[in-house]
Amino acid sequence: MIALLTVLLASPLAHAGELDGGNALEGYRIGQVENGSGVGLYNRFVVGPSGGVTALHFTARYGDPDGPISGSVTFPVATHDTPTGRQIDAGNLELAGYYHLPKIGGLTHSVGLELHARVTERAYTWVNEPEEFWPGAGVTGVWQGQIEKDKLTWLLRGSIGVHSAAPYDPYPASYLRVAASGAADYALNKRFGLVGEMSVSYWDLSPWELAGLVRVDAMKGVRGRAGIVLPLAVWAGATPTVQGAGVREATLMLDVSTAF
Amino acid sequence: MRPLRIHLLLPLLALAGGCPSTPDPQDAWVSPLSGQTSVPQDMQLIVHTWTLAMPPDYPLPELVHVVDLDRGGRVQGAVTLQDHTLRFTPANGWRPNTRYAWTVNPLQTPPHGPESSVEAGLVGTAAFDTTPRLDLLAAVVPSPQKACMVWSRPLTTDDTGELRITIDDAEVTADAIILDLVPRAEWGVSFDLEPEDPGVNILCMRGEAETVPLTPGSILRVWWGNEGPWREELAERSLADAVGLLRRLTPPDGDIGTGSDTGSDTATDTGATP
Repeated sequence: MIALLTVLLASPLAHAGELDGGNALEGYRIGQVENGSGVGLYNRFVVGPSGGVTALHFTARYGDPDGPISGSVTFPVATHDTPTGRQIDAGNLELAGYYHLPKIGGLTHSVGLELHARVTERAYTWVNEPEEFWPGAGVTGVWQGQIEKDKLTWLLRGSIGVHSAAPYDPYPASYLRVAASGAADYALNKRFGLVGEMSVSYWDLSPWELAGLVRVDAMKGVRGRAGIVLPLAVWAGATPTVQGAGVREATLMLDVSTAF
Repeated sequence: MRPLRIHLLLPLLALAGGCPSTPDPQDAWVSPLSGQTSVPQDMQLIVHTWTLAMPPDYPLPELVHVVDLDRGGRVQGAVTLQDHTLRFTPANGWRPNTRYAWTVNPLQTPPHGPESSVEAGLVGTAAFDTTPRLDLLAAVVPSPQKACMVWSRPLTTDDTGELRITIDDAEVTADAIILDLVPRAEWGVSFDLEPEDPGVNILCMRGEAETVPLTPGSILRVWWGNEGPWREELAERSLADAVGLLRRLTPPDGDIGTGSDTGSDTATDTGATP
């Protein structure tokens, strides 16, 4: 393992996303901006006294290599505590479609629609994003952008969505969600990169977050990521839940994705 | 001294009438009342709550548990929540002639899941039993020179024998008071009894201040036939509040026992028969 890390770290410095055929860059709430195809497994572990949720998202992406259209499907599954024990439930199915706009200077960007709806079980839980598991449906209009400059790439996302949810606290029956995220991806070398992201959102169970990630392009088309999400607003007690202020949880991330 | 002969009185009591109370439709309460006796073997325990809202397909925590006080051990049963009403149904019915304790627990749900609560006023433990024995659950002074006794089950013509009452150790004679059996419409409108629930009875007495000082703080002792004595300190409280405390009546604002007198002064006097 140490030898592998040594080899990886010894790789020459490179611009972000320089690995040919590699995965496009993405943050935590910011998805891939560049057009591409692949699959990914995204794991989330909410740890701490008020944690206890483990989520696995399976995502498949398809990007038209000859056109500006791409799409993805995501299906999440969570294990979570209930009053009578631990339970595993499927979350909401998410379908997304993006139109990749012409570049403006160094800005690569796209607009899209993300739809989610409960199709199978009712998973009365959440991780950080409110629409992944709690039974409901909704549509989000999204703009995402990416500006690359040497080793540093800025990632941006703005969205607005309308959603319905099973009307049990802490969820309202319907809500409008406006969100903005900004991230910086710094390429340490050809294989390693660091990602920092901040997100603000309302309505949201975690309205203000900081995320930190390490990404490793272990081989062509295969990327691993590990990181942590710090739910600052939750820690401050500024959340629609009954949870008071206090550092009682954080979300660990462990992702594997491939690009075709 | 002439003793009170309640069995001669009861046929007249049914004639009593009065004004209904005006309950808040958002009241929360439990059933049976604390200390209620003669509970039918097929009666469900009920927690009527407005704050508890959980998805119907989400596992309910243990909100109600019941202990058999005679044999010991938990009573197995099913808890269901529907239309703001939590019901405990014993798996094999209640055993006859048995005393039970039942507890409404505060709601505890895991984080990152549905959040709700049970009114704090509903949380607690009470006893009920399936024996037909009579018990005095409360004694109140709802208005000047009027004292009322809340009995643990409906009074029947089988409740015969001498009714002996003392106030602060002074014997109350039959010709000094007037007894009324207060109809439920006057104090229990705010909670709907289940069809199988016999509920309780309230017996009120009135007398002149010179002969029977029915004042809050006085000590009431009651003997009925071979049963008793029961001892209660007279509390200044309306009938609705007296029953409300026994059923943990919790108004939407969370205060317990804020009802008003139910106007039982309009009840027909039936008089005590010597």
